[in-house]
Amino acid sequence: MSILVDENTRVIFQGITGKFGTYHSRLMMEYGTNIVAGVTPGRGGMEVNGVPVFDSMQEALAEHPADAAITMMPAPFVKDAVFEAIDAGIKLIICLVEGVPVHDMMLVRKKLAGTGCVMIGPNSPGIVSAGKTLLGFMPGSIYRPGPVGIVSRSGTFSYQVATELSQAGIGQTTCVGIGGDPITGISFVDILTRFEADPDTEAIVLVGEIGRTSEEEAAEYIGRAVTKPVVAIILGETAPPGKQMGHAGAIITAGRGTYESKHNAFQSVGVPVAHTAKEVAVLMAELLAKRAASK
Amino acid sequence: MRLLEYQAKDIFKRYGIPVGPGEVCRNIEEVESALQRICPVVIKSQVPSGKRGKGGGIKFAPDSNGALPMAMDLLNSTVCGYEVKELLLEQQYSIQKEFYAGVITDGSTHRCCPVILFSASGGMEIEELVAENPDAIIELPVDPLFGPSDYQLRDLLNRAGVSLAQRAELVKVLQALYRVYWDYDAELAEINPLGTAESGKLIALDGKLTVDNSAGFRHQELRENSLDSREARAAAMGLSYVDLEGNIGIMSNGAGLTMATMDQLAQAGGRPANFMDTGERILRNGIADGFSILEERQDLKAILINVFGGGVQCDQIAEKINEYLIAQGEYSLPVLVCLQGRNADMARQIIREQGHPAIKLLDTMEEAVVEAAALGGI
Repeated sequence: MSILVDENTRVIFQGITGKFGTYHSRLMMEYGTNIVAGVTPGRGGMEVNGVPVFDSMQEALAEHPADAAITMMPAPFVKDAVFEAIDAGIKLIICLVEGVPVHDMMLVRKKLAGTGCVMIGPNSPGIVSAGKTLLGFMPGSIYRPGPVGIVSRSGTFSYQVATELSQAGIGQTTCVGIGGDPITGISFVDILTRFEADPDTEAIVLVGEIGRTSEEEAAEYIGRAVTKPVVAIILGETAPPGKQMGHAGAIITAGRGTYESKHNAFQSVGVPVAHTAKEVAVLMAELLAKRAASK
Repeated sequence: MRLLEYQAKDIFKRYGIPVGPGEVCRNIEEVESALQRICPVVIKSQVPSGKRGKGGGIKFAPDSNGALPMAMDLLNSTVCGYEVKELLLEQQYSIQKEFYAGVITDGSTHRCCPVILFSASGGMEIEELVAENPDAIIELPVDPLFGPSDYQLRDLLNRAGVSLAQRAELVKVLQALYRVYWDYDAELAEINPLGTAESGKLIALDGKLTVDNSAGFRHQELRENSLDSREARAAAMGLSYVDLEGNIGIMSNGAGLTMATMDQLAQAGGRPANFMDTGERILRNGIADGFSILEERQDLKAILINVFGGGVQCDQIAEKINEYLIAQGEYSLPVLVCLQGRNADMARQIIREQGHPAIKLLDTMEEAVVEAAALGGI
């Protein structure tokens, strides 16, 4: 098992005809991802990496039923593409685009409400269910199937964590990057809920950052509803307040979103906070050993 | 993008928010001319900082004779780290009462919507108000599809303890401020203080408007104020850069990995000189631009490049690093390079076989930060 996506997930790729879309759709297919169609308005009838391209989501779905959409295009077009996917009945959208206007995301959140559609991102590296499917641009070779779920606000650092876990012989169920923006679709809490319910996920790594209050919300939820062991790491301990650290969401404002606040929130619910990806792997190995011994 | 006070007020005025008469002055002649029309005057340096009042950037002149030297002192001085290129000269008002009014984006999971903030105790910075008297700030979450309703705003004002007589006028101001926030893709639209003059009329005594950089394509009429800072120059190159106080220059891809590099360098006893996330620019001119920004720093002992290839390929990064350094000839700083992820093997081979002598290749982030800390001198 894994969460949200597996080897049966059929994917439509919005923006497959672009340079990044063409390159990354090929890498995803090499990993085993089942990309059934692409959509780019005005490019219907083309083929990219052997995948048929359609002008609209609806036309693509009529011939190629699908479960998920990947969105990869210039940021000004994202709101429209996401609306189109929601209206076409897609239940999972993975938005890899950086720089989507925050006001657009507020409207996307309103549009998503009540539809049963889940959106990962924007500004997400994607989601990978190890050995099964990869919807995003994470490097597939670093993941090994195994018992740990990873959820992260950071893209590149989640690769570092997966690498250390794999090298320590600890594989992964699913790794999700929720995205570094001030407003995202899916939250830490949504993913934690799914990992808790997934029988194959035995433990969870959460990679947080300074800024926002998503880590505090996650810690509160873990204390209340997560029985599986969790290891956290928070990036930006050395970040000065009032400065945006790359991600639009990574900024300490009005005393909110500090490293200390997040660190304390995790400590107060008994979640160990690691300082390096290597330490995440060491702590995880201990927790898994303890869990195995108590069974 | 943080607009200057007078730029924000120009917009506020167009939306019907009451703003007093004022003139922007860039030299002594303009100041002299403005002083003939505005008296008594308050002289405000136009810098994008919320702390300019405390930083000595706002002066109340007792009379027009005293105003000129005050203005000359401020013009071209440095306030809160910014050179003062423009002054806003405004009428002084005798103020009966000061409110706080703001619209922000609340990204917490249960909201993800605009929130109108109001307080009957304005004047001090919102950060201080939050710290000192959080109950004095009344919040109204707004449905972005509909905007705020008047009845909601009346209720907000009632909760804030505003007298019935003032509510109708304040509702109009809050509606206008919300429209500014929405139309301009703002992260923050704020009037603090929003004063009540002796006549009972409301007047926006300050104006703050911060526009979401990601929405810049919808607001091409707004231009970033030409601030002479390293961060602004880096931003113009598409690099996210923040100055820190250490001596190890950092270049990395992805905000999280960059922060992790800083944090781990600090844990190893080293001192990061900066945050620099090259993002996707790393595939274009990001490496060369990144070097040029770091080279402005005279205090560096080494440069640490930490890249995890995913969306980008490490072999291309290795080539770009090498090309840049070879074009420089001899390079005085050691360049520590850690490349992992997509095509990392190819990248390492490129550097091993034809790498510039300044490059030191390290296999893991741990080794890289320890080496960097040693070069920085613990």
